Amino acid sequence: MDEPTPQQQDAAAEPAVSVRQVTKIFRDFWHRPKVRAVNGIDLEIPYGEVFGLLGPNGSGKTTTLKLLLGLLYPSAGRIRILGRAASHVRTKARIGYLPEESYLYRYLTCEETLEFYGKLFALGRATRRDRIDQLLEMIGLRHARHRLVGEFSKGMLRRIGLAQALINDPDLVLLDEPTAGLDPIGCRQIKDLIRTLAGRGKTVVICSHLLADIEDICDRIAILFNGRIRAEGRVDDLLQAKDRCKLGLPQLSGEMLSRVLAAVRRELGEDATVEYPRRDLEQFFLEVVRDAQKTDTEHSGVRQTETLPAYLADPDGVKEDVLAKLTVPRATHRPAGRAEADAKDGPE
Amino acid sequence: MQQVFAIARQAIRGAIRSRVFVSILALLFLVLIGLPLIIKGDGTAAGHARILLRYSLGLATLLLAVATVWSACAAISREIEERRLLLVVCKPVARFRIWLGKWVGIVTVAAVLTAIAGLLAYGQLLWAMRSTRLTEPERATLRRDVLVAMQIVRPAPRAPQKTVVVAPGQMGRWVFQIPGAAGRERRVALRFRLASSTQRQNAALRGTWLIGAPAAAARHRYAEPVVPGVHQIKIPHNAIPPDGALAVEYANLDDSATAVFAAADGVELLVEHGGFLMNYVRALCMMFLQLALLAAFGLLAGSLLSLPVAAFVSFVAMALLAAQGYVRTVAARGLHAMGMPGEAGPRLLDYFVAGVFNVLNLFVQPLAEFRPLEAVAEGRLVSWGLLGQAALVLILLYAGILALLSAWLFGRREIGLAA
Repeated sequence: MDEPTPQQQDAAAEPAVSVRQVTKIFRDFWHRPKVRAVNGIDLEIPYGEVFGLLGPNGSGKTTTLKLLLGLLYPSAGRIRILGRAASHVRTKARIGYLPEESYLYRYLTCEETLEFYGKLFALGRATRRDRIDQLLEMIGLRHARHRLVGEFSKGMLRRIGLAQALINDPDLVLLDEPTAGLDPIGCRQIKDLIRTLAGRGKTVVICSHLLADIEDICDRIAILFNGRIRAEGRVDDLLQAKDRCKLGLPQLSGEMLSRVLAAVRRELGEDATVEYPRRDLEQFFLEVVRDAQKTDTEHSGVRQTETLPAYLADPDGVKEDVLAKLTVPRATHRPAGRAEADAKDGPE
Repeated sequence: MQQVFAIARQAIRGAIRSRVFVSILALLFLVLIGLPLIIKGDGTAAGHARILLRYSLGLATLLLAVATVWSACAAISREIEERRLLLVVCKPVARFRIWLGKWVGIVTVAAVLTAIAGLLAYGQLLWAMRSTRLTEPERATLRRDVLVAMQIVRPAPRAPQKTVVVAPGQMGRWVFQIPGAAGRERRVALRFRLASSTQRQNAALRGTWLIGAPAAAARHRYAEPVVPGVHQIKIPHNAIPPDGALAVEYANLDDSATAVFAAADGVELLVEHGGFLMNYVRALCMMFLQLALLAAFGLLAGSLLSLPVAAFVSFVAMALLAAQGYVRTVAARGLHAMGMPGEAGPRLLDYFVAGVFNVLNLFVQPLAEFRPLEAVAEGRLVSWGLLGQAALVLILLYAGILALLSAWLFGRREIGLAA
């Protein structure tokens, strides 16, 4: 019988991410409490799930992500990542992280950047080289491997940032605004990649404001406001209209449709309609935040307004075609191989 | 170690590509080649060489020290502020390894720059030696007085050393044991720092030095009157006994002035020991060890404080190291050493200042022996033993303690906090 993989062992024991009653209080120079960025949250994310963290600016999304990474320490509560403490060095070997901005060394080339992060994961030379080639192919920057990162556009920086997050073939991928600054093709690529990773049993946690992206790719979501989780659950469950149902039928002619509708109405009354509307995620998100704002008038995040500064308002209503510039050629996905294979060729 | 070397290599690349390396290199060339052309010495070749070694190389060392401290402070604090360290600490690398990698990178750059500075200064010396304007006697003086490595021999027994006060009509006596083969044709000189009780400006004291075997009847005699200050007397080979035991006596023949010889450097022997080049290399190595300690201090400060504060604290520490003598004096004498108006008895402030400086002195005192630049400019020996002692104290003890402290404090720091 085959030996269980590390994921199987972990899965049998506990979820990939377990957050229990975690609070994070930021303090000032005199150690006085300043901001309660995260306030007693509970989260459990099983292996192989794509989980979305949503919330307005200042709601505690990035702080939560940093707590999961061990970049911040909780003021109260307990965090377990992949069966260990979040700050444990061995935990980090199985995590890939893409921060909200690309904090890369501007004086390193694209290839040197990936080499550097590959070495930090103690990958062997052959594995490193192989993965760098594959990742550069995936992000469409193979031709720019010898260019300095400081010369890259924001979208290119996001791509190289994503590549460094995946170089260790992580079991848990934490992505903070992964599609920010990317062109539509890049966004689609990342979404496909995330689904591919989830299909391979990886756990993905995403922070994003782009609700359509989250709706596309996440299995479950949590909406944060003022450091608390206001809604959590499967995307389908949260967005489904509970009092309605939708009957799937093949394309019907007008006459057939009238007959079917008449038959249904005979049974159910005039309430039956042909189309069943569904709330979209954006609408749901705004409702949750609006409700939360009513109960929490004081909070450290951004106060939502609906007015736009005059100088930024579109004078004639003509919208710029944001899809016009699709400059980076599409590349095929080649997710990196397993981390366990890394040690086979040994360190350099 | 792969992770440590990766971080070190990245730090070196950063130094080179951010043009810091090139800028410091350009300044080194300016200081070591341009400065000796501008500064005029006493007109002699020996004077020119001393200026080169003491001032040009001294300024180059200061430049390297400032650059090293700044780079070390920036290596962690700036990366935290610019959040580049987020992507490093979330990788499976212990914080101590990050610290170590940065330190290795910075000291590697410092080593290369120290070697370049040393080569430039040595090249200048060779060029000065081969100058056609120098006469043969001038060259000989240069070789004899500057391009030498003289071992300092202190009076035996070494401890306790006491200040020797010689009243008019009295005699002071010191016994030395010259190490190694005393009969060899080595140059030996007596160096003394004379202080006098006389109030007269530049008044020479009359006295006689007698140098030779302790029980010998005929000894080398030196009877020139000397003004207070540092003086050197050459000791002829025939005055040195085969067993190396040498007695030195000073008879104060002055009518009224008392002669005072301090415990630290009042009377000492200078014994020729090896060539200049190896001594120079050892001195450069010691300078490098000092830079490595400064790098450790800068990294500690940088891993706790913001860049400007870390740099300020580090430069204050550098200043304290440079002013060791002053720290010792204030520790011993309180505010009176600062030239504050004295009162009848010590004030509370005196006790406080003396206390603070005593604590500082605890850290500074063990470093007092390591003054490579001064040694090489004065032709004093920097022995392998002293270099080993420097490695032990500066790196294993001081830098080691700083590394452990940094690892502990840096490990507790939340890197994810917004700058």
